[in-house]
Amino acid sequence: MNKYTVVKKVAQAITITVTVVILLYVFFRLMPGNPAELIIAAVANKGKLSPAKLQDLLKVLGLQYGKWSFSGFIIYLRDMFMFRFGTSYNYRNDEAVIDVIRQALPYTLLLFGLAAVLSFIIGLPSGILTMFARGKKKEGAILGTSIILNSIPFFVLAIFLYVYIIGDFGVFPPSATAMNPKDLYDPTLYHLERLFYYMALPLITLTAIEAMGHLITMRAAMVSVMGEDYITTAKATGLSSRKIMFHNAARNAMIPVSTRMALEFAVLAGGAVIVEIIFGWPGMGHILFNATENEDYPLAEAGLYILALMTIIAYSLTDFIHAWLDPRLR
Amino acid sequence: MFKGNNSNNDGINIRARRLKFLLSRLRKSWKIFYKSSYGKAGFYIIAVFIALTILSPVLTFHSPENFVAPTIDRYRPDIITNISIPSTTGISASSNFVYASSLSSSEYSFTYLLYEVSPAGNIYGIGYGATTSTPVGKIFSLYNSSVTGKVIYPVTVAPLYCYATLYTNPGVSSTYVLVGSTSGKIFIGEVLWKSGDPGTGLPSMKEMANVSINGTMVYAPVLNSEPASFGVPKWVPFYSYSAYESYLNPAMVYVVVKNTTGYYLNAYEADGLVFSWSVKLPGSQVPSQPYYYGYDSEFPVGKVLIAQGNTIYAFSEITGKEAFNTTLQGNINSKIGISIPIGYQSAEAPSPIGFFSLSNSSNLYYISLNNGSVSEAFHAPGIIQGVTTSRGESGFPSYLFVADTNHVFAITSIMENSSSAGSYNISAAAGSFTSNIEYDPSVDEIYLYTSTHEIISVSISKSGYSLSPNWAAIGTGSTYVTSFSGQFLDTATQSESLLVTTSSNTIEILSGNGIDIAPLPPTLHAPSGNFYLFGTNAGGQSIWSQWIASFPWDWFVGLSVTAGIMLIAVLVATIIGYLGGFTGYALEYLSLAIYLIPGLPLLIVLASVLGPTLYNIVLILTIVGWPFTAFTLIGIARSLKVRSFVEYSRTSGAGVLHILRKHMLPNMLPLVAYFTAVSIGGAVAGISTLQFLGLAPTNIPTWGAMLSSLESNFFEATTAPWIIIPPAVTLTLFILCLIFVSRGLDEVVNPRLRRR
Repeated sequence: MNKYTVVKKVAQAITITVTVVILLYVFFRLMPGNPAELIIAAVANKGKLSPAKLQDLLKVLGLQYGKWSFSGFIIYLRDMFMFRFGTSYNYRNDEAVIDVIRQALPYTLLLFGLAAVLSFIIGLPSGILTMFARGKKKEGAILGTSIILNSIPFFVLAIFLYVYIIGDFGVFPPSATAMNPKDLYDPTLYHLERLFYYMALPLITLTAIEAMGHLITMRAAMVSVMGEDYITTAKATGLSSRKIMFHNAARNAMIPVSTRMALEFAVLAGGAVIVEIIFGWPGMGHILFNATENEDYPLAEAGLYILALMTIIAYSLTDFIHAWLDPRLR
Repeated sequence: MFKGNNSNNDGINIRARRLKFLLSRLRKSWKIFYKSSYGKAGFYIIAVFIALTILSPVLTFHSPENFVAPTIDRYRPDIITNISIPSTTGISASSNFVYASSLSSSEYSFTYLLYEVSPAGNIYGIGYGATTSTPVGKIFSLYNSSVTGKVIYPVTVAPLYCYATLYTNPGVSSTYVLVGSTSGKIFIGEVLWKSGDPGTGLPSMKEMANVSINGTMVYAPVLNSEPASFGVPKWVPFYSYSAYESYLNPAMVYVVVKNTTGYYLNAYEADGLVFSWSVKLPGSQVPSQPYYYGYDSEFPVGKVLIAQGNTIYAFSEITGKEAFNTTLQGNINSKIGISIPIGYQSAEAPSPIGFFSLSNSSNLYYISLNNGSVSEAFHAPGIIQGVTTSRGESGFPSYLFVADTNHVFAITSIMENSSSAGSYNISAAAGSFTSNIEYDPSVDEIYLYTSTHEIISVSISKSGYSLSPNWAAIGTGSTYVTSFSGQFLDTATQSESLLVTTSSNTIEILSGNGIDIAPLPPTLHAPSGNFYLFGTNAGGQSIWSQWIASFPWDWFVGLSVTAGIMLIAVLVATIIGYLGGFTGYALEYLSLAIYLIPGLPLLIVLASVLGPTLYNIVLILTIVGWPFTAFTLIGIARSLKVRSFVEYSRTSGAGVLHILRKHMLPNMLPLVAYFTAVSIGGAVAGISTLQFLGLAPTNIPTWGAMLSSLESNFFEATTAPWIIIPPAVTLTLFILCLIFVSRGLDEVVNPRLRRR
């Protein structure tokens, strides 16, 4: 991979990030009226608000120059890139937003990362293996199941698992909010066991749906690759079909799959959020949902930004993998 | 002119030919689509969805939002105790003779046993768990009263207040059991407890007295003193304050006797069952149940009312002297007899009155107890079947409940305006019915025992004079309620309870309040006659109606969001993809940036920022949904731009708009169709997720709204799968069939995917 590609990709990632930041700025100001006024009205009702305190509050909200001012926007941009999100005004006694996110992000990264990797590990090989059943009834069954699973919305599968696994059997805990931070950071067997005990159902929900998507894409890619001339050539040289599939076809079939994977990260991150809310997994989704419920906009804004950053990084990394897989792109 | 004409013809020809070409292309595409198994399956499933959407207004039987299952469907009798009676006792509910349990309950007396008398005259006490000495179902053989007969009237359990020293200190109650039979014997016994305290130790019975009457008894005995079971069967009189407060009047037992010479009203002093007086009734018809009344200073001496044929007689309770008699327009309905609500016996009442009806009459009359004058009180649409009253402990007047063959009316303020009646339609004629023991000025309940062996609890709201059913006890399987002994205050729980005997020879104690059994399971025969194909949710709303009404709404959301997405995406893709340049890149990055902000969190935040109205949600779903379609279409536009036919078109002088319209759009159409199918499913999944989280309006019927109640209570669904399965499965199937359709379209677009 040459330097030019790397620089181009990094520049692309930065451009997207800047666009996202601008978009968030606009989205959060789409609210009818001035959010600061609403909040200040709510605060002022509780007690008297001194002018100094008022300015302080406006500054925290980034609204001291008004709703759509340019200088306010510049300060906002600077703060976003320096991860200075101010204090959450509703969450846990005005804790700094960055601290709230710092506590929640590892949970989401773990769930999201593990789900992405697991679905990849499960989805791609099974997609290739489905090729062995090509034209048989088995193929239809596998494909049918995977399409059905893949079209279930995340929250519906989560509800079903919640109701029929937790509700009926009580094997897994109804909420992961009882988790101890030690479970995440202390890699002893006891804590690891507890971690997976709490994470099992959220992870299963995400992985089941996501892996099936990979399976379908991988299989489709394999089907089209198997029709290519170089496969016919490889067959003519007398290579075994197993070798052709894993060596010649699979690598090339991975190219469209990696494109899909890059795009799927956004969907998977969204799925992680709703799954977190349902299973009480104390990650970003939980924070974000609580923030919107409490109208805690600094926290919601920062949370959304961090999640977007997460997918942008994942997307860019897959782009590199894509370039590595496809020599034409190097 | 010739030229112009020719070109005109050519124009028509070209247009017709183009149409023909388009049609043939469409037909070919359809063939490819239908040939793919996905396309075929998707087509048929989507056809079902469309059919259900069109039929949705017809199939929505109940209002999806406003309909709530009536209380009669939602509430079931709460069986507190179920006691089966061993056959060795000789008491059999399934035999020809039904021996009702009777019981005592009031703040004055505490009864710890239910009493039953066998045809052989054995008196049994049955524990129902009020104390540890009287466990549920334990049967105590109390006494052999030697009162035998074809029909033994239900035992009247009475704490008798009287001046007699024989019984007990005035005001201190003991439980007495009075038994009468058709064979012409009355028996009275006192319940004793081994420890001395009621309810503890072993119970036994001491015979107080028994007397033979000269003939057979027509009705159960009537007392002028306080019976415990107030509102129980009609033959139990209201309590007499004349005996209770002054201690001057003896407690009396009044019996209607039939012998060869005619009908007599006999009176016995309860103390020792000493014969007091006897009056021969002149007529030959069966007289009505006697009715005792006498409340306070207005009636220093109470009266016993009895009607025979077309005459009502009033006799002095002590001497048997006739006070007055009134001739009526027709024969009295002796089945109903005369009833005097306690409120109308009071000194505060403008005038003490009693109610009665004539046989085969739909009028309810009242008789003044001062002078015997008769007036019409109420006109019912059907023949009056019965009259009962609420007790009226406080407030005046008490409710009067009148039943005709199909209705029950609650009547208040007879003296002021008799027309203020609320009514409740009953499916079967009320066989017998009874009123509530407690009187609440705002809400009251009555219990109807219908001739179809059904007990219906009906509540009355005074504000609206409306009657609504609470619950119904029908029994299960072949078991039905054979007799309803009325309600009592449960000693153990101090709550109102009902006592019934069932055909499977069990005694059941039911709670006066039913239990809410919603979410109701799917049923076609709910007690109210409604049917709930998919049951109801915990709020009593019909799942079927919500489900079927969701079809148009989900289509609406899916289609409107998709229309927005396609409009934006096609515009952006064609213009940007074709023109390129800086704006092109900027918009591409914009769409990529929107796409890379995780969709669901973005939806959540936008929904909360913009406010959760339906149109905002559609807008938000469009904002979040368009980039994915847009940047795929941009790629297509870019590749089309360099295709030779576009180049030729451009070099031959075609304008930008012409190229966009004639070359770009038609070549994008299959892909647009593909994305349309994907987007509809995506939009419906999106709004469902938001509704589930409570961030989108849940007052419109959609599958997501149906699932939204689960967010606060997941475990509801473990007991009621019918709440979750229809919306969840339909939602998945909807998205699935659109994916199938999109895959079918995919095969049309990508020839490489077709099976060779």
